[in-house]
This record gives sequence, C-alpha cells and structure tokens, in this order.
Amino acid sequence: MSGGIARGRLAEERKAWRKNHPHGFVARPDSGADGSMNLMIWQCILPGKVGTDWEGGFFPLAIHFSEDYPSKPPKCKFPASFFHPNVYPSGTVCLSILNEDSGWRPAITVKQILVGIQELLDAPNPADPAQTEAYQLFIQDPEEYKRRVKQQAKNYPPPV
Amino acid sequence: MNPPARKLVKKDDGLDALFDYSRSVPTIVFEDSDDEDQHIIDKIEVKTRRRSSGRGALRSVQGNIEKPNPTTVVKKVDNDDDWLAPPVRNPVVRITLNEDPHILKVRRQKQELLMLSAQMAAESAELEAKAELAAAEPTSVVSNANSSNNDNNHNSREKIVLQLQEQDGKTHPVKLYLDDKLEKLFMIFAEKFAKRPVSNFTFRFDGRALDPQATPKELELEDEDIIEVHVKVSKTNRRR
Repeated sequence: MSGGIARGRLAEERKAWRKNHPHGFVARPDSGADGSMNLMIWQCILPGKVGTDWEGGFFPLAIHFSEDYPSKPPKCKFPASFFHPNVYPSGTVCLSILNEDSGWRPAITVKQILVGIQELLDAPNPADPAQTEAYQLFIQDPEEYKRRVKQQAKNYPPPV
Repeated sequence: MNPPARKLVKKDDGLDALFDYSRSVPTIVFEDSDDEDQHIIDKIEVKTRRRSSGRGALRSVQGNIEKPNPTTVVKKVDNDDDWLAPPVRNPVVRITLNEDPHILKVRRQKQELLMLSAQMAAESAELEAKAELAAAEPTSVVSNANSSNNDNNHNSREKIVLQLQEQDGKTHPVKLYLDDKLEKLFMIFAEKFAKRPVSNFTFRFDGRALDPQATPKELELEDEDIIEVHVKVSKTNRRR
C-alpha cells in the first residue's frame, strides 16, 4: 500500500523534474540492464556552486527511497569517503531536512533535497560532524581544507 | 398558589360550566358569516374526493416523472380536463385555479426532466467521444507520422515543445516535430538565441549529451522536457 504511494509520488517527482530543474543538476531513476526503470533509486549529479571552492565539480549522488517514502526521508549517498564534514565515511549525507526526527517533511521535493545538499557543500555544519578527517581540517586547518575541497572538485569533472 | 385559589373562587361562583365563552363564541361567529361559503367548500371537498382517483393519478405521475413516461402524463391530464368541463361554475373555477398549478408544475417538471436527460445524454456522449478520441489519438498520430515520412505531409505530424535551458536559467521554448532531428533544434538555438556557432555548445538531457542525428521520438522526449545548453569548456577557456 505504502509502496504504491511511494512509487506514485516518485513518478510525479520525475515528471516535474523533467519539466523544471536547476541547470546542471541531473536526477534520473536508476535503470536496470534491461532498460527498465527503478523509481526507488535515483542517480543524481550535483554541480558545485559557482563562486565557491566546489565550482567545477559535478558530484554524483544516489538517492535511495524506501517504501515508506514520503512519510520517511530518502537516504542520500555520495561515493564512499567523500570529503565533507557532514558526510559519513560511507558517503551518507547528514542533513537536518533528511532526518526523520528533525527537518523532514513529506512535502519536500527531490529538487529541494538536491538544492539543499548543494548548499551544504560550501556551508558545512560543524555542530553535526559525520567524519573526522574533513571535520578536523575544517576546524583546525582551513587552508588545507580548501585545498582538499578544490582537489576533490577536480576529481569529479563535468559529465561528457 | 394563586391560580388554584382563583379556580376555587370561580367554582364557588358556579358560573364556569355554563358560560365557557372560549369554546362557544368563535364557532357561533363563524357559523353566521361563512354559511354560504361553507356550502361551496363542502362541494369542493366532495368533488375532490370523488375525483380522488384523478389526484392519485397525478401523484403517481409525479412519482413516475423520475423515469419519464410522457404518454401516461398526457393521458391523465386529458382525463382531468374532460372531467373538469361539465360541473357548476364557481367550484369549477376554483378547482381549475387549484388544479392548474399542479398541472403546470407537472408539465414544468416533465420539461425540466426531459431537458436534463437530454443534456446528460449529450454530455455523456461528448465524454465518451472524447475518451474514444484520447484513446485513439496516439496510435492514429503515430500512423500519421509514419505516413508523413513518406508523404512529407507536415500538417499531420505531431509536434513537441522542448525547453532549451541556458546556464543562467533562461529557457527558450522551441517547437519541433517528433521526427525532426535534434540538429534542427540546436541550429535554432545557435542562430536565433545565442548568435554563435552551434559547435560552441553541447545539449544535454538527464546529464547525457544528445546526438544531433537523433529525434525526440527516438529518445522518448516528452512535451516541455528541459534540454540543458552547456557551453563547451575548452572553447570558452580559449576565448577568455
């Protein structure tokens, strides 16, 4: 029952996305080897915000929706060991609007999630660290932190 | 405590039972004045009672109207008219006055119902036709598109609107035939909006660069899909 709701909502999200989304963002449901579409997992690309150290990077992000979506938030994952204070070593994003117990609301759209994570990239929340490496550099060595961020952006060039 | 006391007093007078004006006075007054009319009223009542079969029929007609049955309505009304003609004048006048609104009401209701049912029939027919059209459209258009490839019959080919989105978010809606090559769309953008050679740009959908030789139909593009326009990095770097 709830699965039907999740799929229905995701079909709507996809429809809306095709017709309106911010430039440079990609969000498409996973497609299997046979070309069939899996609405429960989306492969996305977040462009680093222009004018920040993240500019030029096109960061891959997978969104995993559960059967309880949109009652429960989806899980958003960068590649493992992504460099950011609020990203767990597994790549999972730690963000209030993605937390069932704090900021998540069923009305939040995929577009809002992606824009929210793009904001988070250049505005990490030191009150809620998820990995030690990026967090410690961010606090103790801003120069080195900046260098690492720029390096990472280069590692994710625009899709060809 | 007071009322019982008064009653007691009245009973003591002994007049209460003999002169109960509250009951006797009104009837006396009305009997005098309404005497003549009372006859008429009696007559009418008698007639209407006799005619009660007619009224019953009327009622049943009213009941029947929900599933309109014009023939029975007309017949009953005629019967009443036949019956109404002979009797004495005054009652007849009154009766027709009483009766007319009913008949009129019945007729009006009948007309309304007929109109309603006609409207509903028309509406449902329209809906069905629309549904059939909607169901038939895609396939028929596809067949048109197929034939148009041979006939070059541009009028019957299906069009699609694609939104060219620039880096600054500006979008340009462009209409294209479903079986046009995307090349045409790219040229339109380069010449009309960017005024720079088309080679400066890449066009992407879902993050993938689009093949200029492909058609919207092949790529299953939908109406109002966004096509992102990206300025080729290497060239702009050289430019700057």
